[in-house]
Amino acid sequence: MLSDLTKSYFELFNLDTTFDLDLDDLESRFRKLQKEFHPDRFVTVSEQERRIAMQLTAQINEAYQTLIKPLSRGSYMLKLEDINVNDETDTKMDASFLMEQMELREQLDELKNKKHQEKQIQNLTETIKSSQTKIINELQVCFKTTTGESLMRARNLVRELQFFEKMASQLEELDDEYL
Amino acid sequence: MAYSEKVLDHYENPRNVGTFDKDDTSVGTGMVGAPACGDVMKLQLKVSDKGVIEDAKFKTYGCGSAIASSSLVTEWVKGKSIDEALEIKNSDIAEELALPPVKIHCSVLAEDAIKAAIEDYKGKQK
Repeated sequence: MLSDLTKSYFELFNLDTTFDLDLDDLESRFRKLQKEFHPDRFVTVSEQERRIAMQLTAQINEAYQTLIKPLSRGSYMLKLEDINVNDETDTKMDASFLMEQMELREQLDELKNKKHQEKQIQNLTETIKSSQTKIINELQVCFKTTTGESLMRARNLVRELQFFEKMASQLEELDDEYL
Repeated sequence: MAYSEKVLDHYENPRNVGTFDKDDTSVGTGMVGAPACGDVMKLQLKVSDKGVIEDAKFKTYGCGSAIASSSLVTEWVKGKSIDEALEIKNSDIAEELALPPVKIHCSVLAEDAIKAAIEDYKGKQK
């Protein structure tokens, strides 16, 4: 049981390290492990074992939350390859990507200042969603090979995906204000 | 987290917000981004024939510290030569605005925006 603590999130679920996960399968593996290490089952064991079981439960939760979402799954896979997605001293991004972000942010700002923009919010939300899907599809391809080049490409894609996630959550907040 | 007075001042009254024509050969445009927080910063410098920065404009989508950092550098670079502007360090910006450690990356963004803008300007002079 102790050795389980050092396993990667994929190993914990007995899965290959892959971006292309079957999410229903992941969920059923998660439920199974949750049951297996449930604190109720460790009432009669030594305190040390109980502590390890608790740590494992926390780790299983963390692993599931990380792998279920494409952004955190991608970041985690890169971390396993020792690639840091959020190096704060690296602010360089593709110029046309940043330009597009500027324009999308401008649109979002305009929506914030006006009322009754449900339709426009919906349109922008769909634009963001389709950009996210496009990046995720590209990531599927990138993660199939682990050459330096494809990993760098994956890193850039994950970085870009973060901007869209941020926008998506801002849009959600805006949408909530209308409800 | 509480912002310092200087950050609040720049945040509430940002200096030099706007845009120059990016195709103007006397204008250098620098765009940078911080994926971790989704901040985007655009800094534009208008440079004279003698290599002096005559004017600067910025547009930043991000937190108060990112807006304040870019607003501050537009004030700082005006009247400087491009070589002098390249000497502005993120630590100078962070110190002036009293940025807490978690916001240091905003000052990094502003320093890199100056460098990117000057690189763009130099590229246009060839």
